[in-house]
Formats: sequence, structure tokens, C-alpha cells
Amino acid sequence: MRRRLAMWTASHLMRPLPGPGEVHVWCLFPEDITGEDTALCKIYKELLSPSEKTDIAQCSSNPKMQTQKLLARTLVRTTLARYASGIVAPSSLRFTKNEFGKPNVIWPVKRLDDWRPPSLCFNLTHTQSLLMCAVTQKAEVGIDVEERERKFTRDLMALARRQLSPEEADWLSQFTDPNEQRCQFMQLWTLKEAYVKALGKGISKAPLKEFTFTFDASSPTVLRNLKQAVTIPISLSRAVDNSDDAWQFLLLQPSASHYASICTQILPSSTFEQGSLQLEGWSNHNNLQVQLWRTVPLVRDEELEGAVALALSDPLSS
Amino acid sequence: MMRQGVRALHSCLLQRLQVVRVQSDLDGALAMMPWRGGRRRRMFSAEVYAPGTYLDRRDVVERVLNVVKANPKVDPAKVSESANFGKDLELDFLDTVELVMAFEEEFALEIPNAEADKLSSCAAAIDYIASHPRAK
Repeated sequence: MRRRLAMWTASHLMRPLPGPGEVHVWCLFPEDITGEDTALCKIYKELLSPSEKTDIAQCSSNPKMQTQKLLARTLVRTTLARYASGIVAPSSLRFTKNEFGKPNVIWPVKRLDDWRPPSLCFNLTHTQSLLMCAVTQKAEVGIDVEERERKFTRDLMALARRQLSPEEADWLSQFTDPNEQRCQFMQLWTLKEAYVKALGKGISKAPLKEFTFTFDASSPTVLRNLKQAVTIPISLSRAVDNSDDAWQFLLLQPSASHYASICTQILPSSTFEQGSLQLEGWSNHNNLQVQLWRTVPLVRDEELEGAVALALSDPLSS
Repeated sequence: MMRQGVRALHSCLLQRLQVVRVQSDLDGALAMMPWRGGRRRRMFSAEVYAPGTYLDRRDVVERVLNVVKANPKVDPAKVSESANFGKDLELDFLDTVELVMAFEEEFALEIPNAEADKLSSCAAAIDYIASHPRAK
């Protein structure tokens, strides 16, 4: 195990940063970490901070929750450390939260020769069966994942009227097949959650009922870099924050049994210095570039197979 | 419990009074009536509270816990007065919204989203419902 880890770490020291308009998404499927890997889980635990370890120890009556928390913290730490050119170890990162609970990373090394810590934005989401960490450079990002087959205990339309905007609830009520209605609800839900998480100001500043996502099935667009090239445009009414920020949304199925949405800020191209761009035929980016990996942290990474894009928004300016 | 005669008198008075803050127990309420020298007070709330409709706390505890246990996603063995919906019962945000809807049905209440967002444990739900004058 140790030799395997050392070889991997050496060859993955230099992970290039996400460029402008690019989102990197690291996906961890708990099923990839089998029961025999208790040694691996012990190694993961060593990456965590004392307070994270305490938090896990406190739910000792709930082993599944302990594993979830362990994997979530491991994913965030190892993901961010990938972009530090080997200079920073996952265990040395510190995290703070803003007043609304949105996490931020503090790099332990502020400067080493020419290296400076990258300005990374990140967001984590998880269900029992999939954890995802999205990373961008400088652009705020939000991500949410849900299980497609999620069970509801109440009438779905009652829930929709309560939590969605009136227009969204009306749209949802048109679906007569209960399965389809449920799937559409989950898709909408991930979009809304991803937006709120990207804004990072908590739900009170972005009440779910006050913004509306609309799907326009009449004009599909083309999305590069994902297996399904044809997607359906989505648009957002009335961005709820008062800034001039523009946001872009991608709805996808990272696996056959999940829906996920990614929301990211669209930054003016002047945000990035000339030297750090990898333009090469990239003129103006009104399409999101998303790269997805399936990872077992410290063991292996591979491109995520089978991800399907469902819908993409045009860049929105408020 | 209110006696029938007093109940009739009370509802008659409610039609006349505009905004009155009454004590939660009946004696306190009667003490405020004009013929007893009580003064009508205007309070912030525009709603009229009827005395005696606060539920007994022990009833609330039992009924809240039963609603939680009846939820198919909850392990009944983990349900207690102090159980946190997320940490102890492994419910996510949507699950908690559904649970709040179940409380609304059980207690014939409407719980606005802003209040519902704060109900993250059995204890919080019990406190909210036990101090809600219109819970049934």
C-alpha cells in the first residue's frame, strides 16, 4: 500500500490549474473503497485536522455517517492539494467559514520562490453514494448532487409548491407520469441548490421561491467535453443577488443514478493575466469547459466514464 | 379546560376586542376584562390569542416523536427528544422539509419557511409547537 501511494503522489504532483471558464470536478464513489481498505481509511484519517477527527468521533454510533464525513474531508483536502505543485500536503490545509457557512481554504505556505498559492474556489456536495468536489480558478462555484431514485414521503406537488417558485411548480405540475415528475423535480432542485451554494450567502439571501429556472426544449445547443453533445438550454430569471455577476449553469448525470448541477461565475477575461491563459483556439468562452474525474484519493484517478450533460445555460448577465 | 359558559362569554368578548394580549391561563385572561378593572392593551401582534389552546407539553413531545418515527427514512430506535434531524437521524434538507410538512398536518398548523428552516431537531420542533397558540 505504501509503495503504491508514493508512486502515485510523485506522478501527480503537477496538476494544471483550471483555466478561465473551466471547472474541474472530482468524483468519489464510496463503492470504489471496499471493505478491505480499512488501511486506506486509516491513511485518510491522518490527513484530517484535529477538529475534523473530533467531529467524526462524535458520531461513533453511526459508522455510515463517519465514513461519509471522512471521505468528504479527504476529497476536499486531496483535491485542493493537487493544484499546489507538490508544495502543500493535504493535511496542512486549514479551512474557515464565512458568516453564512461557506468554506474557504487557507494555504499554509504563502510563497515559495516563484510559487504563490492559487486562487481556487471550490465547493463540495455529497449523497450516500457519490461525493463531488468542484474547483475553479477565481470564479465562484457551487455544486449539488442528488440520487435520481430519491424517495419522497409526501406528495411531490405539495413539496414543489412550498419550495419552488410558482412558475417552476406550475411547470412541474404538467408532468403526468409520477416518475418523470420526480426526476424533473430533482433536476430543478440541484440547479437551485448549486446556485445558492455558489452565491455563498445562505438561503435567507437567496430564497428558493424567488428565482426560476426554465427549460427550453426547442433549441438544443452543443456542449464540448462531455459525452452527450446535445443539451437543452436553461435560463435563470431575476438573479437574486444585486451584483453584476453573471452565472452559468450545467445540469448533468454524473452517473446513471445521480443528477448534479454546477453553477459558476463568468468572469471578465481581464481577470486572468495573459501569461496564465491556455487559449489555443479558444476565443470567447460562452460554453462551460467541465472536466470530470473518478478518483480514489491517493490511489488512482481516471476520467469519469458515462457522464451525460442534460442542460446548459447561456451566460446570464443581470 | 374551559367551562362551557365561560367559553361562550369568551368568544363573545373576542368579537369586541381588537388586539389584546391575554395570559396563557384562563384566570389571567379574566383578570384583564374591563369589569374586573383590567385594561385593554395593544400589543405588536395583530393576532388574537385565545387562552387555553396551548397544548400540554407532554402531549406535544409524544406526538412529535411519533410523527418522526413514522417517517420511513427514520430509524425509530434513534428518535429521542434531543435527536438532531441531520446529525442523528441522517435526514437531509428536503427530508426535513417533508418532516415539517408532517408536523403541519399533525398539529393543523402552517409553519412559514423562515421558521421551518430553524427546526433542525426534535427539541426545536417540540418547543415551537408547544409555544404555538394555534396548535391542535
